[in-house]
Amino acid sequence: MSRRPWFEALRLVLLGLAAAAFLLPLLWMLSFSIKPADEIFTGRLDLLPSSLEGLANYARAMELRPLDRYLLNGVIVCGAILVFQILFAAPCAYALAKLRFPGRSLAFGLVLFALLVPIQVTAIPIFLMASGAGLLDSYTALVAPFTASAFAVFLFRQFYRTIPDDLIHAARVDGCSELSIVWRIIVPLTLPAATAFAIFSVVAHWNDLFWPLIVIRSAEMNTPPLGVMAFRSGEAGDRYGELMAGSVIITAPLVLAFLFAQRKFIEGISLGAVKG
Amino acid sequence: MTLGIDGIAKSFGATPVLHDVTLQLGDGEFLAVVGPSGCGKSTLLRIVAGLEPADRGTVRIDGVPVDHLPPKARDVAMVFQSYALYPHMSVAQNIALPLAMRDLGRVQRLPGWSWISPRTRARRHAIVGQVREAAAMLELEPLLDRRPGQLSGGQRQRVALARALVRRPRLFLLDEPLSNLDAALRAQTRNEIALLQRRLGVTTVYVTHDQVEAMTMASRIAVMFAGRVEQVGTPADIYERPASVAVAEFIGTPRINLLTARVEGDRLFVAGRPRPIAAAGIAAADLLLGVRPEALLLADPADTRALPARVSHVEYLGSEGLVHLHTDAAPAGAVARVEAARAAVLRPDQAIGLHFAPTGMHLFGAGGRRIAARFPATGDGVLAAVS
Repeated sequence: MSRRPWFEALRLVLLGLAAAAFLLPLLWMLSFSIKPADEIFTGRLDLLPSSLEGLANYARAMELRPLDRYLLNGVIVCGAILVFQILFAAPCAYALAKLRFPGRSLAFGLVLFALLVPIQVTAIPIFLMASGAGLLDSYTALVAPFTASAFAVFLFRQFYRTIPDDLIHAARVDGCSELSIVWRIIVPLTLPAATAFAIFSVVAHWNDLFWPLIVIRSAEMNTPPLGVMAFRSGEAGDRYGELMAGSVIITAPLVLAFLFAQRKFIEGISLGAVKG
Repeated sequence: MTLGIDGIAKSFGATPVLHDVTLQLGDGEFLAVVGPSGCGKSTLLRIVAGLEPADRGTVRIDGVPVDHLPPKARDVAMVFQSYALYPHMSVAQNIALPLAMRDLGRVQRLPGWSWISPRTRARRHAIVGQVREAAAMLELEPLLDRRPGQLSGGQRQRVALARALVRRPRLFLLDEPLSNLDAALRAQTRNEIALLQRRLGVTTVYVTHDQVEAMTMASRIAVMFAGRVEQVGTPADIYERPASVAVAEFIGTPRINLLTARVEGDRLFVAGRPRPIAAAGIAAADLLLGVRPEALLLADPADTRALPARVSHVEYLGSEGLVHLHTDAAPAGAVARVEAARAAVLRPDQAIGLHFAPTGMHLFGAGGRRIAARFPATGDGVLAAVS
């Protein structure tokens, strides 16, 4: 590794450019959200508005749409999806990683196969099933199709395989049932895996537009992205200031949650599992 | 509590690991199962614990077959070679887990339940008391809040012991618990475990590849080779009457000396030199005479009845000396254990004679099995000093 100052500088510049490429749209969104409508279409590239009256965008955005309701929907849906995903995936991954039973390889093969199937393929059948069961336009319709995650099973299984068998044997001798082993030993030990998965899952489902668009009819069931989309509807006109303010409001919880989880994620569990 | 292991057989795929293993343990007995790596002793322990199903045979605890029972229903405790402590729990939580699983119901184990239920609170309280008691027994009190990752090897080992004995199991299973410790700590812990076992009176199966551990700790030893129990007996039985060459070689350090020998009538010939033997009607050429190092006696090289040998190397150990010897009768070389003063004056390449003390001699026939024989004393004097 070179310690020359110009190399360090070059590295910083490259990293800075990459970061800027990702952050600029966000920054633009922030900037628009605090500008009054007449400053948005000036053709000049000012990041900061000339006055603070643009902040009213936030108030108007909240007024126009029940954004708090959409945020709550987002929290409920993402939370429920995550809880059920871990609830189902952890025992399943444990069985695939540590238990010996006939058909285990086949079962794991099916999990891998399921990884390859995108939601667009199964969307129509699931929609028809939900429709037939009268579940459309409900939290169940938003949550249920995602409760079984092949990705979670796969990710957890890979982590669980690294746990020494002795630990599981010890737990069995100590009187744990297989499910207690999962919840008392395995999941706490692989918290970094669960955290990493939680980030993926929450980001994906918080931002998901496709599925809610299909199953949601009524406005009060809107998830955050659906709610923001409503700002662009004909009835409201193209109100970019409010749209951007709304976008900031629905993005903020995700960014905050991510920053928090990231710290946890890096802390990890740096303890020797067995002997050191 | 008694343990009966009856005709246990086990294969992994096409590889047989255990053949018809049968062992009996009386109440409070300490049995060491000793054998080289891969002889199936750990698998046997796992079968007794219920972690591995046997292909055939029966495990009985107090006379009752337990083959169909999962580990937790067998009321056994196990200490693993890797200690297998739960890394995300404190020492106290590690020790408390078996008690919590046994004494608390599914609902009672939920976090915060003891705030609601006074009964759960009382049980949790009792568990804390028992954990403290076990920790005190193993001098772990100052470490109760630490994580396993913050402990030394010896401390982890004691936590594993505490976790095993805290619920006073019917059966105590130890799988090479000392092999990750350094030599000094191993000797100390060896004594501690033996004392603890006697104090608690728990029937114990101790698996090890270290014959010294087996000899020093156990009341009885089972020697295993290639999935079979070769011999079961007290340490003295095994040392003084090994059932086969393999057992004789495995037990005892330095290793027993093996000399080629033949028997004609009432005489045993080693390298053409006869000595009297009383053995029932054997006349065979391919025999092995095992002589313990302490039974190999140095003699004057001019003594024609002594076995001629040459000193190859002398190890002076302070309290004693080990003399490594070349002799035609022992292709692998021989070792004699002698007084330190005697060893100090020996030089490499020095010629020397060898006599055998009758108490340390064992005759093995075809297939390495022991042949019952007596070796009358020859009256050969042991050399007082070697010039």
